[in-house]
Amino acid sequence: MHSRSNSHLAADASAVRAPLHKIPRWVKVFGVIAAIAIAAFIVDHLAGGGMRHIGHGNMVTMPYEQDQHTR
Amino acid sequence: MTLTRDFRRIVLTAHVLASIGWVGIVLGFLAMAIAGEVSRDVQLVRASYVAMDLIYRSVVVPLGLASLITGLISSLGTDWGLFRHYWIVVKLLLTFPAVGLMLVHLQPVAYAAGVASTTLWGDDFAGLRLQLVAYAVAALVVLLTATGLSIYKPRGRTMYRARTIGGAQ
Repeated sequence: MHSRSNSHLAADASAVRAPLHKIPRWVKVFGVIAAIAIAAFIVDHLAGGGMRHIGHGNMVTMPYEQDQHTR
Repeated sequence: MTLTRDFRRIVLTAHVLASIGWVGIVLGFLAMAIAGEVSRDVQLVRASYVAMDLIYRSVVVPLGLASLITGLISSLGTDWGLFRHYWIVVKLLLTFPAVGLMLVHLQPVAYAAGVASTTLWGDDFAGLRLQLVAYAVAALVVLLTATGLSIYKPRGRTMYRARTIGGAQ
């Protein structure tokens, strides 16, 4: 019981010492994963991936839209 | 700005429904994208891409926008705030690009549906088919991550929150 309250005191003391705005580890891990994903996305687009299939002004009218226009 | 309890619950209900609906419809979109990619049945492939375009415009985009808007209202109208907790900031950083990319991909999805329904397709279309599968998987990962963050709410207050606490004391 006594040791438990001591550990609580120790935890409180460390909480006081720790800066309030310290970035949690999970946020840092997220940041690294996001950076890798963004880099992969940019490389894919620069390497000719992305939306190379779509030419400018190459919109296709769908059959159900053609029906709407003819009505 | 703080919402009343009733309005807060209405907005939260709408947010949960829109977000979970968004996950569900992206799963359906992925199933159709995979069917379009791997199936040898031409009718099935054509039907998949036409249906994908229809559900993308009529369900995926409205649910994505609804999820983002209700999420913003829900966080700004409560003590959670928008920049006070890391999990909300991370969720926002996941959702904003996801919605942006979703709007950008309206045209490729429409293009795929148009090609599949009107002409015989070549190698170029094969690339687009694979790309649609990849983007659906990426969207699903982002949405499941955002759902997990909402449920677990991992600890961590931002510098902004620390400053407001310090200012209050």
